Amino acid sequence: MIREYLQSHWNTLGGENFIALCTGVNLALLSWKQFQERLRHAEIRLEEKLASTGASIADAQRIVKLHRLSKWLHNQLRWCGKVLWPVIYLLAIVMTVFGFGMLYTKSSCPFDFLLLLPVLLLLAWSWFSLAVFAIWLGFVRKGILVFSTAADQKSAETAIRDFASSTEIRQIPKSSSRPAPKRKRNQN
Amino acid sequence: MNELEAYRANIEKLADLESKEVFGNGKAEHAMVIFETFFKRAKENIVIFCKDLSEKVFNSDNLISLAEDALRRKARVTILTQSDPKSDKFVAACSRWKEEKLPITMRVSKPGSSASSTTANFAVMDRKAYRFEPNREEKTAFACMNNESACATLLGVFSRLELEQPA
Repeated sequence: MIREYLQSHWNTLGGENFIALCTGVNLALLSWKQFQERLRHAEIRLEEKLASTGASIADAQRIVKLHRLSKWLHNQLRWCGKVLWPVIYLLAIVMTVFGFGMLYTKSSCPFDFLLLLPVLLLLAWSWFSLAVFAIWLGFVRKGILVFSTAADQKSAETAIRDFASSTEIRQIPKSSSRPAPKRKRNQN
Repeated sequence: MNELEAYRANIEKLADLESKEVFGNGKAEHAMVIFETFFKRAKENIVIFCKDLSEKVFNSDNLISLAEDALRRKARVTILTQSDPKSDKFVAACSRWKEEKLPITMRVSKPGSSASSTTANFAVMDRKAYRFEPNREEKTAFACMNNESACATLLGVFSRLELEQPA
């Protein structure tokens, strides 16, 4: 019964077309251009951070180089986490079931082992990405933290606003004693 | 590359990247570097509100040369000090530039005005980059090469401080 069920579904899905489609979608989604853009953006942010915290250009370049590969993979992992991984894992589960189903039922389908290949590749890719992500967290992030000593943007803007409001308050009596300072200044 | 050169390179990089990152600028030599950068890159205007144009910062020949280049590019420079300027070289250059009708204005704030009593100093370049020193006694200045809203706030303060001054 299981054999008939699996074979009927396998035939419905169209075997090799299904594998080709999955692989094609995977490669398209993991397109190089997409990651290049994300990588460049990440690098700029890192360079900014390093420069703002006083790291030398040589330090910054060294860390950016080390950061490049891991950040690229980290980005794809993060993106995949949102969009692709649910799809990949769903496909992997479905294909594993079908693959083992084919093996179990000794089906005459010629794609028994090929069927497992994309699954294995996807799983290998995901584990590799996870490993690099761990490296990114442990190593590059540590590098960033070492140099992170500058003021943050929010506290800087708050300090400026506080200063602006304090000068405004102090000036009220002065400006009230001078009714039209702007016009007077322009005349001069 | 010494520390100051690295610092200068980093500031140039942040300016090139139009970065919004805030960085420390407390030391006098660091202040000199950022003023040099402002003069080097200014296209429209620079406003400076400071205590007395410190010699350590403004007596630099390179800074004076870059300021002159900025003025010749028609970038307007407006300086308001809280007390008489100390940088003889820069003041002498200012007098020369004024005679040449270059767009520079330098004034000393009126005693008793808000400008003379505030402990904060700042500078803004092209309504985009700023240096802000919340308390000059503490030497804890910071700067940013791209923050238009903060610059607008500081320019608003500068306008108010200027209005208090006699013509």
